[in-house]
Amino acid sequence: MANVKVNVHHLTRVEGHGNIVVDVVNGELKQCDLQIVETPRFFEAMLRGKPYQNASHITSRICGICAVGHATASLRATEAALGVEPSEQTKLLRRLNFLGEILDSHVLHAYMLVAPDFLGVPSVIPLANTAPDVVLRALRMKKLAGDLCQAIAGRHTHPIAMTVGGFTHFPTANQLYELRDRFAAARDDVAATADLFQTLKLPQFERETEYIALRRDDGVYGFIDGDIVSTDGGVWPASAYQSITNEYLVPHSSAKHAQNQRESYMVGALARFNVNHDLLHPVAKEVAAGLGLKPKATNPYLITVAQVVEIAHCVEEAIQLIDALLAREIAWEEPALPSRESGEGVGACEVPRGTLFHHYVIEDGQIVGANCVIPTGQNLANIELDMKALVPTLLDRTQQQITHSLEMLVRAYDPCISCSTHLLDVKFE
Amino acid sequence: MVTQDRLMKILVLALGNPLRGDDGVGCAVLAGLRETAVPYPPHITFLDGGTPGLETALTMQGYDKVIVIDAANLGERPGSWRRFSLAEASLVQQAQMEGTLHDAGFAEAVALGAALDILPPEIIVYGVQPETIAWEMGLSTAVQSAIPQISQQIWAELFDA
Repeated sequence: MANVKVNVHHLTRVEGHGNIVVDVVNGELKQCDLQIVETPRFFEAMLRGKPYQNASHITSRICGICAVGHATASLRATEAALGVEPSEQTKLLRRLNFLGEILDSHVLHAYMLVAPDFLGVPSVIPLANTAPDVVLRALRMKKLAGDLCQAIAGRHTHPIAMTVGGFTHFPTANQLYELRDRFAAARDDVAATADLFQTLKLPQFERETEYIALRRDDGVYGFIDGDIVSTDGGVWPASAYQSITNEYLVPHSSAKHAQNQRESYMVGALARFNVNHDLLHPVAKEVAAGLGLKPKATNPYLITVAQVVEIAHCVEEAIQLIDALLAREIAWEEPALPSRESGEGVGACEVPRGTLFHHYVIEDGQIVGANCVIPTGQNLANIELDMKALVPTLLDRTQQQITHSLEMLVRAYDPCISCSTHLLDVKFE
Repeated sequence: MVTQDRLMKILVLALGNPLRGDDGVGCAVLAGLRETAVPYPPHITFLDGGTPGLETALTMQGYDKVIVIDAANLGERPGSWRRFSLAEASLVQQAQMEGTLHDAGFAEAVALGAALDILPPEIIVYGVQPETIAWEMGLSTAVQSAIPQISQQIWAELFDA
């Protein structure tokens, strides 16, 4: 086909508003944009003048999916700024809580947003009729993840017990025992998830890029703190994030793009796998081998497969962390105190979609400057370059097939473009 | 409804994001109800749900009745509000609608819950027409002034029945 025009307004099953615009004239690609129409530009305005104690509670509301991720990155930024050293128990609890959110988000993406593409249904809702066991399994895993977050920090979407220096609430030993039993039982669901994704045939499309993720030096797989590591070589402290993200404006999007050592880079589950695969739990490594995922994986559709590997990792590591917490017994401890009231700090976490940075300047206990770089913003330039490489390989397909392939590509990145609002739209009969 | 042997299990669920102007109305109403209802009766659960997705189908599972408070596009003037059951109105699924797309919200959760047959027998929505859902904290005067009336009616529904 010599001429192709794709214009997808408001992609379905993507968190937020995004348009795909592709224009091919006489076989030549004239335009290939992912247009973003909404982005959290309000971040600094929202925090400026607020006491530092409020920052994690405010920023946890930015996203209904990454509430724990934003809260944790926020707390780490404040703690870096004010010289707070959280206890070992706090670190364990935060990590366990974080695993709950990764599990929750990955189950949502893999089962509810991606699987329908491969199972021939338009969304998860008809899937509930045709394959209720698949949907119930996904919901069961999501519920387990949500209950874990609730036991540790209050509601998943509103983790109120997380505070600077520690927690204001602690799970009981009974809660932990119960969760441990449920996580052990969830191993069957993990195996069934791996089996399901083994049967799904992903599009063949390779485009190597730079893969960036946080990496810790203590042998623990990703998620909270660590240095910024690139598969192109290079290690940077989180405080140097701006020299990696190098954000710049593009005319067709209100969200900034990012580039490091190439034109673009990728963050998220596949980048984490490429950077940190050696640190995965052995069970997760087995799942990766069973799904044929090997470093360095360069097919962006494999992001979902890397998420399935991380689902296995989260379940296994959650069991390990619960055992560690039970062995040491939960102490009702006061949060660690700041050593100063002014300072500047960066917090970095690997949230489900990739590396998240919060950066605060605090003076006399009040936030006077704040910056936030979200994973989807870092991936935008890379998604566009994938689209530009993919479209020429699809020109013999129908317009509808091309559109569907592009939508699937964008969905693979699990982009979270707008941040949360859930206005009900009601029609009265 | 009070039966002989047990009180109906009720969930009062606030949805919405207080960082987005009037989308925080559910939170504001819930906060007021929580303060007034101390100590909480054991058969009533108050929950600030934030902006969850499909998992709301599970959050609601097992309750006899759910009262949802959320900003809603009713096509009326800001601050107007309506109480309706799901039988009386249809919720537009954002994720399947062209024109606006947010991640799956309450409408999708209800559709999923219905497909799985796990919805509570009674779901009541208190929908409030927002003036603005821009990124800013705090409610508009129009929505703020509707709160006492809404709270009073929910209160009556919870305790006077």
